[in-house]
Amino acid sequence: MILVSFEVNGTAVRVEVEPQDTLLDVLRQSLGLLGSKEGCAEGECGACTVLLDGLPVTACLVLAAKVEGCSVTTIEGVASMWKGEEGALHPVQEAFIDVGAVQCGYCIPGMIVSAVSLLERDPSPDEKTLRQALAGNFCRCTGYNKIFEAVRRAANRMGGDL
Amino acid sequence: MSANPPAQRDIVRRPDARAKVTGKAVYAADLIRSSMLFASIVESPHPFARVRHVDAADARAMDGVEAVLTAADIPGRNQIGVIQKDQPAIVSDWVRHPGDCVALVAADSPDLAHRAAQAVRVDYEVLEPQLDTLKNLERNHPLIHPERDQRDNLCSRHKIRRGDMEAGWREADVVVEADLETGAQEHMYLEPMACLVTPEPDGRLRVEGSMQCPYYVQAAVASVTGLPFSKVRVIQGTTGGGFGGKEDTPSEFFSRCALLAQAVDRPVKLFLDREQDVRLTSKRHPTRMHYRVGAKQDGTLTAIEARIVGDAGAYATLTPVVMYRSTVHACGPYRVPNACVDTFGVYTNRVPSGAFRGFGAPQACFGIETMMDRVATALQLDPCEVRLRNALRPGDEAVTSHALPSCDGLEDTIRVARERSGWSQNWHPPGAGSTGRYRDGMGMATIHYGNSLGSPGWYLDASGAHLQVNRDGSVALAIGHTELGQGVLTVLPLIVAQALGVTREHVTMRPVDTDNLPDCGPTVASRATIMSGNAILDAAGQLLDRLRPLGAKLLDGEEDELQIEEGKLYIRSDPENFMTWEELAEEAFLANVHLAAVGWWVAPPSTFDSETGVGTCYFQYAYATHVARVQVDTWTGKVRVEKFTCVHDVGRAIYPAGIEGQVEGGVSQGVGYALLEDLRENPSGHILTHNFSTYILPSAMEAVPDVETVCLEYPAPHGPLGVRSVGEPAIIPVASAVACAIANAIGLPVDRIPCTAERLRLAWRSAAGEGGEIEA
Amino acid sequence: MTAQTPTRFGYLRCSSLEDVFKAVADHGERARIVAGGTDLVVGLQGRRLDPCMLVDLVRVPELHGIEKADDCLRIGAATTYSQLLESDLVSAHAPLLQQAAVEVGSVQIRNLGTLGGNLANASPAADGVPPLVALGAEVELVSRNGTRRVLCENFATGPGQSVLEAGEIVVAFLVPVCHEHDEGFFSKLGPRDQQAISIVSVTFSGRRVAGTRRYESVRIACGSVAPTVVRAFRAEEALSGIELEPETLFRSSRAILADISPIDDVRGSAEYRRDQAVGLLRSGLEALL
Repeated sequence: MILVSFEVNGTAVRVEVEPQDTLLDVLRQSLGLLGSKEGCAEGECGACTVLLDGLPVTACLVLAAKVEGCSVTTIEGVASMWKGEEGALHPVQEAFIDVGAVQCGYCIPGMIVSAVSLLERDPSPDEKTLRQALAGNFCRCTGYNKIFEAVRRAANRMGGDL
Repeated sequence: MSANPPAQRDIVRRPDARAKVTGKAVYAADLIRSSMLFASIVESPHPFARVRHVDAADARAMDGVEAVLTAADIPGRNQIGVIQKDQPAIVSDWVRHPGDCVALVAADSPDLAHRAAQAVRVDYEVLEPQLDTLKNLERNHPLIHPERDQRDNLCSRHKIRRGDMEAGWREADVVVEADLETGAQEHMYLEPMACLVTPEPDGRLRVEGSMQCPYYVQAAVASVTGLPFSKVRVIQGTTGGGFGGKEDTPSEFFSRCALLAQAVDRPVKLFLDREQDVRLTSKRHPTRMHYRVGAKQDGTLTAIEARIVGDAGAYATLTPVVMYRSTVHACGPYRVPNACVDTFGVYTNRVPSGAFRGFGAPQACFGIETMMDRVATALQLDPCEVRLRNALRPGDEAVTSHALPSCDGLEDTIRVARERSGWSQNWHPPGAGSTGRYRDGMGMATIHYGNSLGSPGWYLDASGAHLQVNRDGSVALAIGHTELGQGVLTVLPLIVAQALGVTREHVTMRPVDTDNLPDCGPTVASRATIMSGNAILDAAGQLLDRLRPLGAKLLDGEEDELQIEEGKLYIRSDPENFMTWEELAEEAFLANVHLAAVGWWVAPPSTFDSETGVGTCYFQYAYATHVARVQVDTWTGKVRVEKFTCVHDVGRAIYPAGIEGQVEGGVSQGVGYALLEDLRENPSGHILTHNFSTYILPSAMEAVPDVETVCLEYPAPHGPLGVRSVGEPAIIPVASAVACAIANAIGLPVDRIPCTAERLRLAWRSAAGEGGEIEA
Repeated sequence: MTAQTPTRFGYLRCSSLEDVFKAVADHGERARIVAGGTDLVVGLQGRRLDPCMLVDLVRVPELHGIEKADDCLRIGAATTYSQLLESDLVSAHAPLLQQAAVEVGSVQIRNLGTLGGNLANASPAADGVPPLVALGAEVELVSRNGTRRVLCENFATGPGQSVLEAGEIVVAFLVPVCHEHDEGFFSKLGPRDQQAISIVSVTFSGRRVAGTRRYESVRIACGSVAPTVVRAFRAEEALSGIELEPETLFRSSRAILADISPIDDVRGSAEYRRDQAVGLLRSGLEALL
């Protein structure tokens, strides 16, 4: 057992973990944060994408023991990254709803985390940047077109154009 | 009749979207119960073997292992086959595919369950796997199901006999012939299969999970546990994609989980990891086809001979109905005076093939549409003209010798696709476009699609809807069809709103639960909107019959003059003087009006003669034409799909953004099927491509940049408000259009999908000579 | 509540090289170094790896940082692909590394995976390694006994096999800074354009003789076509010092066939790999010219 202290969605946590536990295991099983999904457990599908010290990573590839002192943001913490009204969603979340970018929804938490991270780095990404930023998040339902549309719409809204 | 201008439509927000974008939606893997155990499957490592002995003593002795079950421990009937009773829940004698279930384990952690499964010792007599469908069709071949009466490996057989083939060949000015092949396709829904089974205090089993067809699961669980249906309650959880992959396969895994829960009387959770999910669950049927098509100089078809052999895998599962659909759709939506169609489903030692969006139609589409292009090439005609010349018009007999109901939209899909895609300006004869490394091409595919289950499934082609108006005016809707991402939670409340005259915000859907309604059939075959929608209209009609007299009375008018819309009711002559739906509901409650109704709708029967193939086959059809524009990199064999024009006769577009979502997703899956998704196995049939790094899905990089969806609205005869299917029509033509576009770009035939970069490049090189113009 | 699996092995988070040496000495062969973890964790999940101790060196200061010293960039082994992509020094002095880095995995993988880990795993399909080889980079290996430098091209000896000795750690890369006339490309054929393992990769580096189509000091490295990332000496020879003409590029590029020995696997056949090694080299050169 290893005691690990880190921050999740702005709150300090201390959890006991086994060396083989991944950050995804700990988020889901120990911390009850079930929004991050397991789709492959090999870092390929992107459904478990979270921000680790501000950077998107697949939580299934991160050993929990490694996050000592780190800050983690999950889908549950995305809304509070945007200084909107109390209880309001992040503009990326809003845009996914508005354009119908959500179908089965299983890829969506990871997809949104990747999209939010992209717009933090690049508020108006071009087509190639947008595609590359989301290439680590597979979606089997939408064909990605409406997801791109949602991210563009969110970018406009966040930039004040909408 | 015209296309919907997308700019003018309202934004319809999906009711399930908010929970999904916040991470709050609860999928099966998110369900947690105290004292919950975890299931694991003891898988056969062999594709084909006889089980001599199973020794579970070591596994049972492990601390934390609560149950190890073998076939002998099944209290009910060891049978889960949905159509043919050829599939045990736990094998007792023969294992017939890699991963076939030999025993089950429940333990207090997933890891322990996994290790205990490995500790079960099974003594096998290993047999040679039988993997070749054509060889397995031969007489005196080893039998995969020796217990059957039949002395062959034939799982299903369908045929169509129409006209006089000899005459058809005589009339032909040209005859084209080809051997074609389609690969297996893995669903790769993002959420792997998962369920939780909880024994309830009253002796019932509560089964929750990710699934398309709760009633199938109920039947399978009841069969193996020996419980009556009424003691098996199945509740669908949020389901992370299905595409047919969660049609019958959940019955298999959930019933095993139920056996464990029943045995230990504790909640048991089963979830497959990705690798298991790919290894153990169904695939799209791979096929081998032979087509021979005759046509006159002007492109008029004179005869089609088609033979389609589908790989059923180890158990029948849905093969008979998948191959039925291949049969009916084998000649496309064309006038074919003389036809001979033979289809075969053949057992092999592979994981069963099953339902996958399109259900046998994409394979048949690849067959017929490839041939339509080759007819055009042979006659030096425009393939679009050849399709138009042969497309069924109202009153024409389809290949099954019956007129398709309401097919006036079919030709229009071709014409509109031609116009919107810029076909006339941009199409060139095969291989006659750009030269050099990159070659551009266009391809077209036209389809019809029989809605719902058709003749063989008519016995379960009925659905219900329960509508309850509460005293505050809110309306609760229960149906038997599941939300898989396709949008039933969105579209059905729109139908309720329209039928009752309320707003969509008045309507809330209850979770799908077998306790709500009797068997509504499966959520498959693009039938949910049609079936549930019609049942909703029935229920709404009953409620209105009770509410309208009251409304008229309260407004002091005639019932004939009463209008209810958008949550208001008024007498037509005096719209200013209205009352609200909420007020009506309260008044109705106080007057003891019966405020709930069950609607029921039965699909019109359809027919199919097993000897001749004569029949109506399906009660209505949807029509679509897709045009693909591609660029082939002849140096690498990579194909970039640049644009898809998708024209669908949807009957009536109730939720246009949802239709676009279906079409865009269908294009993506179809492009994957055409180019990337190559399921590979080793010589003994073990799947090698069982994760996202080896089984190649389109990523955001491969998304088709321009997908144009055009909805035509020729009302269907039986769909509610005129609706036709769209979920599967969205994928069926895609791979064929891509394959036709590739052939058009490079001037070489595409005989096989997936047309991977490697296959394309090597074919190009051998045609273009050593170097294949890398040296150009 | 804790996660549900029993302890399978230990974990040590090291903050100095000495910590690492000690841990490795204490646990011997069953100690397993972990940096970004992108390969290792997959191996642990599938139980293909069964270590007794994970030794995490990602917080060892010596493994971090990118700096320019004389004619070399010194790149810490724990530098992630994302850090490579953001580095102005790398962009100015070793842009080839960035060309490759952007094609590694996905954003998520590039935020975790390290250049040192990519080399140490000795996978023939590693995308980070060919540019190191083509640039003539050295790797600094440190143990309690001292420090040695090895050319990256000599590091791997087979799939998963390397010259790394027990107790030795990959600490940094020394990448010669590029000259103003140095040109190059990293060209990868994968089944997808991102999030894909290479079917073939070809990396070219050469110094252009000003005003000509001639290259000198040509170094070519290929991935996924041999048991290790390999130098393509024959191709280098064929393409060095001669005026490269579009008409003869294909013929010259075919020299690479003598340098590679691909196999059939689930990602591609040997035949396709041979074909594409030639094609990638030829089309990469064409784009340079």
